Amino acid sequence: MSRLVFSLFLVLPSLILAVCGVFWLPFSPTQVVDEPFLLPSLSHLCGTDWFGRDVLARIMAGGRTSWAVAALSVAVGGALGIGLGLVAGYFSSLWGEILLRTSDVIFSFPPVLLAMILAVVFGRGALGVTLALTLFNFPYFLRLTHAGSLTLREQDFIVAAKAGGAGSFRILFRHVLPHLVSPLLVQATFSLGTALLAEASLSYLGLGIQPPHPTWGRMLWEAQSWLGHSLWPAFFPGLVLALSVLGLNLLGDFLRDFMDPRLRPMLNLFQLRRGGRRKGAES
Amino acid sequence: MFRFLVVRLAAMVATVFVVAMAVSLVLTVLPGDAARLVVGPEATPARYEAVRRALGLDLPWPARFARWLAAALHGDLGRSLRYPSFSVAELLGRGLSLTFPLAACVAGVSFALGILLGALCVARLGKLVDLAISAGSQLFLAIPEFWLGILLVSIFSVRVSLFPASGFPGWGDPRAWRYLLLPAAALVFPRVAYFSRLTRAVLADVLGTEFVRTARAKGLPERLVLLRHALRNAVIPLVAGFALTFGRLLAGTLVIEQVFSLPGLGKFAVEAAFARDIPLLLGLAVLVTGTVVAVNTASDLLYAFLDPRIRRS
Repeated sequence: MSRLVFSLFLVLPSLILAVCGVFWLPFSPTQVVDEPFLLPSLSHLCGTDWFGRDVLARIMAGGRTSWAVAALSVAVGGALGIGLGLVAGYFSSLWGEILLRTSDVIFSFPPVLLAMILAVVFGRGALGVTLALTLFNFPYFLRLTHAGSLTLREQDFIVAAKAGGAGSFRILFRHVLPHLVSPLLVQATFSLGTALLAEASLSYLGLGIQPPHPTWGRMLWEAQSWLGHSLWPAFFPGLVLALSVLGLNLLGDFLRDFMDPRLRPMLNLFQLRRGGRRKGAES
Repeated sequence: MFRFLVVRLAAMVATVFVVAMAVSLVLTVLPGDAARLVVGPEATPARYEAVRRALGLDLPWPARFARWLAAALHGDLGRSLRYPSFSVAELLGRGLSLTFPLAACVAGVSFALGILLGALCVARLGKLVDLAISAGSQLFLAIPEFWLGILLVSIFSVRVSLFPASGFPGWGDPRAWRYLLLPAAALVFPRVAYFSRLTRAVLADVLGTEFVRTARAKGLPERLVLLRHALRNAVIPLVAGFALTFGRLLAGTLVIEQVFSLPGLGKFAVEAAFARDIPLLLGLAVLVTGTVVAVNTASDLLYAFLDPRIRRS
């Protein structure tokens, strides 16, 4: 349980800052409020940047965008992947095969390059980034749900439900999906962390949400040219990002170890990608 | 075995083909007027027409793609729009001359160091060394590469001027490596973390098996059990991890190249995205996907070579 508390201790501050940023900010995130390059103090908890803008206000304003983009892309990508994965796994038709191959192709395509191409198509901004991350997230959920429903399909309780006259739709959503909730939850936690990182990378490259609206990635890019004056404006946005991702990774590890050991093998597909634990691989 | 080889190679070619088709379709069919976006609103009609024809926009998409494919099969990927005096192939070659050695070094060093640290963890499972390395791995997997890069610059270039903060003088310069040390370090840390976690996980699994118990029971020193029996059986997931990492690195150095203003593939990718340089983006997509798929196929073949059980099945 202490692992749960520790991981929440890392994630929650960043999430609370972001949610709080929707309703209230200590200062305007885009306007000069004080002298430039003030060190962290009681009036400016994270100091001020090269123009004299409050860094904490900018982190909060950027946080709401980062978290919103990450959460939306995981939710939409997850829903798509789960829906298609259930159908592909349970019916395992030609379409299922085509879906799996498509997800293979997306897997082999580097996410940053995918996002760049979508940025060209949809223009630089929130839409392109969200779509790119959605497309990046969906194969993980597709494969997980597919593998899960393939195994569950042969189980006695499904056969019993079928014999009892339940329709495919009812079986999928009442009998198959509930068994997949915990592995999907674990995957969603890891995906959220990856999406936060990817959004920051794209913003850093200038392909994400455009200035003057602050994002963590863009703040780091801008702060880099002022490193000779002060490290602080580059330090805090990166710290918040790193702590959020670390917290989400630890939370995912905790959830995985906490869930039913019989379901853990389903996650094996993805553990190679994270260099994660393979305990229970043979069970 | 021969059948396996043919199927894998066919799948590889098919993947690259599908990616090229998808990227070409998305880049030139979906948005409004690609040529107008390229030349900008103030361009003369003559320039607009020239770009339109260069992009093949006067043709329907299937014809355009067929033309591109025919040229690409002869090694001609078209001309860049951002750098009109260069062909796409030339630009990719330039980018690769920096990115490929960087990616290879980073992947190799991380692989070796990661396995070493992971094996150390397993040798001292549950002890302080193991906990420290595992915690460090978690930390470095979460730290964004570009933030690490910025921190390294602020320490080793701004505070103490040990290494240059950005740029690259070309391989002819005998001090070229100094420009690559910090970017390589920023790339190596998270990947060492990845390999050490993977090694620890795989080795811990293998150590629970019966042949390890037999090896211990016959009195083999723990060091030999680990190196000669356990590690050899852990080699397949590790090779798979290496293939994944190396394939991803070719496009994965992109952000770090931006941090250190290195003229690699990443620089061209970012510029192409900003300038809507469609031929260059298409070439990049094909090159990168091709490499990822080729490395994965090679690692699949390597399994068969390394593990007789796979070879026979």
